[in-house]
Amino acid sequence: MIPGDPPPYLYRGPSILARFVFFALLSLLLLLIDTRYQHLEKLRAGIAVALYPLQQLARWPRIAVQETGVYFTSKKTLEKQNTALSWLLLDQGHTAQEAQTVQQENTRLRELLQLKEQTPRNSHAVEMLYDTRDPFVQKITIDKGQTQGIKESSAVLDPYGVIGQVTHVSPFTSEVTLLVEKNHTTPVQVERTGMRSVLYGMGAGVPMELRFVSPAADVRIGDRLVTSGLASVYPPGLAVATVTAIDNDTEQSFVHITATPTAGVASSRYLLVVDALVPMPTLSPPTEKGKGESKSKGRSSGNRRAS
Amino acid sequence: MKPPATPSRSLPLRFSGPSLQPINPNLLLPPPQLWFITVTLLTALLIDLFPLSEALTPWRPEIVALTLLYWCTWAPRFIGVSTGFLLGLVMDVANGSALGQHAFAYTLLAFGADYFRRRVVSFPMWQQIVFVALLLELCALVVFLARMMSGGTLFSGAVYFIVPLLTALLWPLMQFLLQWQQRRTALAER
Repeated sequence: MIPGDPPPYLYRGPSILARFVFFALLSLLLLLIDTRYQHLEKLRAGIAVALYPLQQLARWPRIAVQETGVYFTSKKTLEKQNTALSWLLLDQGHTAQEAQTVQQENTRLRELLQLKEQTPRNSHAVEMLYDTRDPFVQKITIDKGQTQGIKESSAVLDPYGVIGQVTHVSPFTSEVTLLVEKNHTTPVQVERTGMRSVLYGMGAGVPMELRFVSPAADVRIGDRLVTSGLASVYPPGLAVATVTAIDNDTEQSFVHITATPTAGVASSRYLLVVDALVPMPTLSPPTEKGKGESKSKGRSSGNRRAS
Repeated sequence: MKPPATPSRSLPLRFSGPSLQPINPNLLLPPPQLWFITVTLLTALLIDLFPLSEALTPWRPEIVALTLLYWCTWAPRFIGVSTGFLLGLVMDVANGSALGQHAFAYTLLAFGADYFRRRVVSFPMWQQIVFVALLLELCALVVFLARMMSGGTLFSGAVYFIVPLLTALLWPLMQFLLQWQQRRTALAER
């Protein structure tokens, strides 16, 4: 007899086959609900909280290696790095000062033109916990969540541009879907001409596609694509991608344009999360603001999880 | 008289005819304890959560699946289909994939292990490895099909189906490590 096998005259609960069928059906049901209706956020967040201590524990070896690496870095390297950073700071400080002036000017002009004032957005500096773990899903996990004020569908940036969007928020961690995730859409415009379009992720290692552009449109190789700010999910004007190829096939009604992301997708450890502005539906009274907000979020983001 | 060379070498360990020894000496070990099973499953999860570099990530062995498979075979009283389901859910959340993919795969894995366990424990090691590899491949295939159906994701390459084979090669090592508590109890009893 196999050790651990109870004697056959004891009742052992439902048979193994019955249990298998039950749990198999349950998991298929979960799969269906999660992919079609996305009503399982609470369950996901609950499991994520339970997983959090393990995740933190699992990071220690890597942190230890990095810390020892930093400890033994030579003075020369540090000095070199320091100088480079000082130059960068000087350069960016100049731009930042200019930006302040421009922003003031912009506010005044907007007042003059009686345009709606742009609401400032909150941003959070976050650290990446995990790279993409799953070969099929282009998602990363960051170390801040609901308790630190991260909101769903916020934009996530690295120093060079947008890398993705927050898709799941649990109390202490959040999940970011990268731009390159298949069927992830980003509203963009061509920086040079202001022409708006939608950029589609095609999966890891495959260039992204700019869709719905008519053959007559003025798009050139090397054009920078920036967020258009439509749908208020992303702030306008953030760098997203650069056009790399244009295939002008006359038989089709749209041009086939491919682009590569400007941000080092999934390579920078420190990231910035910029809150999504969700447009308030004008019809709902102010007391039901929260309700209206959550409703419009799903529609306006337009980024359904593809997996 | 001098005995022939070949039988004397193979006699003490391997006997070609019907043997009175139990086929798998592991069957004589005392039953594993629940605390040890829990600790090993959590450790497997922890090892799986170690952040690896981008190049290494696709090659991560499926330690959690292997540990689950081991305990489904050797401790079916404690670990079975329901544990597989729960572990699968946890893996789904950790991976950021749609809930239910790994849950289904691990449920299937646990069922397969439990169903065949009486036969598998009497297999020689290489056959056990083949069996484990088959089960893990089946799991990989199930996850792959679930992906294909839910959203047309891209195939990530042959690595995805090579990793289960490599994981199966870890089976003897896993057996050695996970028998630690049982061996210790056996020694203490002696």
